[in-house]
Amino acid sequence: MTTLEGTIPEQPKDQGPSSAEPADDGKRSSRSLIWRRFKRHKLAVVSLWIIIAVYLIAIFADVLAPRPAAHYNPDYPYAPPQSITVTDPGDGRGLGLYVHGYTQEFDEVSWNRYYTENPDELHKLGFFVPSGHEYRFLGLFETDRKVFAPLEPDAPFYLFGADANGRDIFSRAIYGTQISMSIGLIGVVLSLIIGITLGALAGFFRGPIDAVIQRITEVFMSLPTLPLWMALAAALPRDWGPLTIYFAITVLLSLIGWTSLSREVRGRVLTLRSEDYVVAARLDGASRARVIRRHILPSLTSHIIASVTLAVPAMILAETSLSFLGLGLQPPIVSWGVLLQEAQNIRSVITAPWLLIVPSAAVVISTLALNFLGDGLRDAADPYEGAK
Amino acid sequence: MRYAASAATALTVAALALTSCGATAPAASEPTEDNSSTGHIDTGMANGSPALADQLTAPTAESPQLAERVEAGELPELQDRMPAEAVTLIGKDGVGQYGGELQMAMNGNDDDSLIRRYAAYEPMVRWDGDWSSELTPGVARQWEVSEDATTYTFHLQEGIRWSDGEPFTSDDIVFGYQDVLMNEALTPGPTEYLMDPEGNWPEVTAIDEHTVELKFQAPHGLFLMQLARAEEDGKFHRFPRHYLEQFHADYNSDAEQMAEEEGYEDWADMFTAKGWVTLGTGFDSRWMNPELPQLNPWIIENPAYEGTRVTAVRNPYYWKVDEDGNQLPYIDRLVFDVFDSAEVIAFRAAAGNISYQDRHFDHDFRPLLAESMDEYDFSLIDVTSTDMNTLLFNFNHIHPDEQMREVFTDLNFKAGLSHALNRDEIIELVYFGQGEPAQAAPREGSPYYHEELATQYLDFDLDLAAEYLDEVLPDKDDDGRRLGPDGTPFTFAVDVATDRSVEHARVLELAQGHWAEVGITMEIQSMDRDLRNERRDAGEFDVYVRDGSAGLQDAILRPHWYMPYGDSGAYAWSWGSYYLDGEDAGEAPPQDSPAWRQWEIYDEILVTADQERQAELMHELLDVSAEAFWTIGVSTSPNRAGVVANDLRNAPHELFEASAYQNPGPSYPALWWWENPDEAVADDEEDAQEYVDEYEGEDLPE
Repeated sequence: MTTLEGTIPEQPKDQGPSSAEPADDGKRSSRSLIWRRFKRHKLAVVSLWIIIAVYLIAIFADVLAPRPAAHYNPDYPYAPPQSITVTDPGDGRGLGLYVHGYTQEFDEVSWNRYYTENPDELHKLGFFVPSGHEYRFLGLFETDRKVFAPLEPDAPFYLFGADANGRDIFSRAIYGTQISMSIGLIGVVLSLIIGITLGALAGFFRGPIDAVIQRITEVFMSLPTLPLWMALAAALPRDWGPLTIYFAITVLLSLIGWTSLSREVRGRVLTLRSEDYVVAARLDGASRARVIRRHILPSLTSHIIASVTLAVPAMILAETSLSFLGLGLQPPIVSWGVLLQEAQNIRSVITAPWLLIVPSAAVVISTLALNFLGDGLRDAADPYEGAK
Repeated sequence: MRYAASAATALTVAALALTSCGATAPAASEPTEDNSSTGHIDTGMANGSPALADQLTAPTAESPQLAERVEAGELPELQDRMPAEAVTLIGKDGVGQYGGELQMAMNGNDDDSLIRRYAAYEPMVRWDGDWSSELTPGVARQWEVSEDATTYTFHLQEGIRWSDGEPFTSDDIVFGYQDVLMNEALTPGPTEYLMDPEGNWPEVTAIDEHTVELKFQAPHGLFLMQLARAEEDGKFHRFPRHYLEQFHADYNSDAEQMAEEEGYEDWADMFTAKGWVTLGTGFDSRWMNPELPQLNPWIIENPAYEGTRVTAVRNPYYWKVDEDGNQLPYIDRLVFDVFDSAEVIAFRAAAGNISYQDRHFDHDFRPLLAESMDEYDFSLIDVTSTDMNTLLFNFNHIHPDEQMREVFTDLNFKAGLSHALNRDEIIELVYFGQGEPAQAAPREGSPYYHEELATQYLDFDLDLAAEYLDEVLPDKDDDGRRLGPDGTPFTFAVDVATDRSVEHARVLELAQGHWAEVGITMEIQSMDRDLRNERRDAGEFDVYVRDGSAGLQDAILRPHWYMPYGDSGAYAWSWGSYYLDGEDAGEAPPQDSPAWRQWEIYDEILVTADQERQAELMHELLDVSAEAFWTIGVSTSPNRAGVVANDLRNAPHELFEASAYQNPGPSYPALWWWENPDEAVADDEEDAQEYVDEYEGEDLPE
């Protein structure tokens, strides 16, 4: 592994000519080094902005989504996406952004509604308009204003189309962000903490401590997941809501899922603890805690970041597969996984592809962004490596 | 009074049925206008199903394939294989031509009911194509029932031969009854349809070669209908004595040794695999053993329960003809491809690879089918399901929690919830605007339709709903949620299976909103189907939802949605088990429960022979159902779609669907024929399955 060489202390002296301020490198704090290297990774920077945007969407979902997630309209099942036009209908409403209404026709043979744009029906859109749907803005005050919505609260407004109940997919995708980008991640963080702590302890102290931790790891590894899930499904209190159950499941899964990470960390620590600079630090009288924190853990960062960025998309996707056991998220909760699950039938694929496209796009964009961000962070976390 | 049914009377009744619904029948006509070139014949069936002609016809011609074999000396002449005067079928498209294959799709290897429905509906007495109460002759050409419904005499059609050429006689029936059905080694469970309501076996005697008499100890009023429903096992006339004796220990002392040589566990294991239903797996030998002689139009060629394709070929000894005396069936071979999901079957149908199929098509597949039918030359058929309701809310009347039970059994509670449901919205959003608001009741048009039961508490009226609910749960908290008798917010959970119940989940989501309006909190608990059934069987649930079945002729045979009967009606499964299987199986309802009165009436139906009287009693029974209001219904089930190739003749484009009916069996697939038989050839087995891989690989990721 090249990273082993990369951590040899002499390396900073050889910082390459590509660096803007090579002379100062040795004196800069490693944090600013990391940041500077990260900025060179263009894709990672873009991804960082995307992730920030995604979390902003999650935080301000109530303001951004034109309709509440559960708001349905029996008049517009499977309505296709509308396009926004700039026009002046000439009836006094003035120039502005408009969407067309629909005309629909029910086919008696296929039982399908066929929608076409109604050129005579225009609904004006506006910014920060009252929507008629009250919500508490960040828990502070009641309002019903939405960033971008039609002026008439009842007008059909389906930027990304409607689902079978005439619910706005645009709004639902926005609300889905909240669950998809939060709950699952808690489990990832938990298993990360357990895995690293136990792995580092085992690797660093070796001997009996290592033996005990290894045996515990083996016990956890031998637990079969599927029967365990079934047992959990039966054991969890039934008066918990589906969100609580899902949270409990992710936590429990992370309590079991830390084993492989812990093994990897232990292996790395075992190699690292005999590295010259670690030995040097020990001989200099550094405390164990300091050796672990300052010298060993930073070398592990790249590895940890890589596993986290891979775990996050896996968690987002696992959300759907868990649903088949009745353990995952279920409607009426809105998450991308739930939206995808609702779109997994022939009718949606054939007559309403947007049901599949919108949540898939959300999942793909966020996971890709997280992966690139992870790449960037991993490379940047080893500031001395790429310079060789 | 004696009941004699002959082909002639059956036709008159059917013709009456036609005149009464003649105005509506053609309105729903199928899009295949080119059918008219063949000239439609009135078969007496309102839906254009083939029917029995009122006279017999001498056989005159056979399939060219069989003629070749006669030529080669492998088969006797046609006249030696068939009765001198054979049972005659007529179809709307007239006399057809031989050849072609009929291709269908099974949903999994255990979907053998599909084979049975196409290849093997040959009961003693048959349902007709309109599923009227009048039964038509099958293997029995005529029958008499004693006035007290204890003695049944069947006159068998003369000249019928098994598919190996041996004559079929009353001796086969006596053998099947005494040596197979009553033999506990071969048939461990009770044969319920053959037992009278008190659980006694009848006395079966062969009066002569073609006459069989069954004497029950107690009246068995529904016996003829039980014979017509024919679903489980082909009934008691399926056992060819001459072939099966060799495997039976009572007839062949070497049977045990033979079983050992052939690798069976014992003689019973061998016997059931050769000619009955296997003990362990429940596989039917009719679809496994090509050597087993049968009375059906097609005999299995490529066995079921293994592999991906099952085929059945023409029975050279089939005993029915068309009106010109051509031996049936017209179609050479039935081909059943085995797939593992209904979606794949829908795609197969949409690509024109299914000749005729009336099952496995969800409403959601309809646009797919409708949009590809012109390109691939097929049409949609209209399948009226016996399902009478899209979703029933079964509140647990035997809830372990005293308080819940009190609320759930209160009529006001259920009436209130029913009035609070916006059924029109549910129909519009979930069921494509198809169907009418309805409670759990036999469908309109069935002989047991009960208007009050079907339409009570249906109006969407929140004020009325609140009034009813105030009688049960008058107190509310600050958020407007109703409080239970113990002062905490009253909530209940609905168990819904995660698989295959997408529509139910969507109905529940809407109902949740409707009921929140009147202060009732419902939680939706999605779970695995097995877990859900386990919870139901343990009685540990609040509400169990299911679609309501048995809404046509079968309402009287399977009344579990109208009164506690067996464990299927989840609202009071334990009482139902008590009624059917006695004290050990379930719990007795309280003395004042309407169930007792219903059971009394049903007991009387079981011993009544007169069909009119049966219907009257059923009406009385449903009066009590209306009073008890066991379950809350949503809407009538919309008709389902099926597919039919445009070149297929004589096949009905409208039909009924029920397991008790065995569609399309009663519509005589033996009489169906192809306009272009040379083109009607199934695609290659590997191609068919490759199609699945493609579909599963690309369109819907796991």
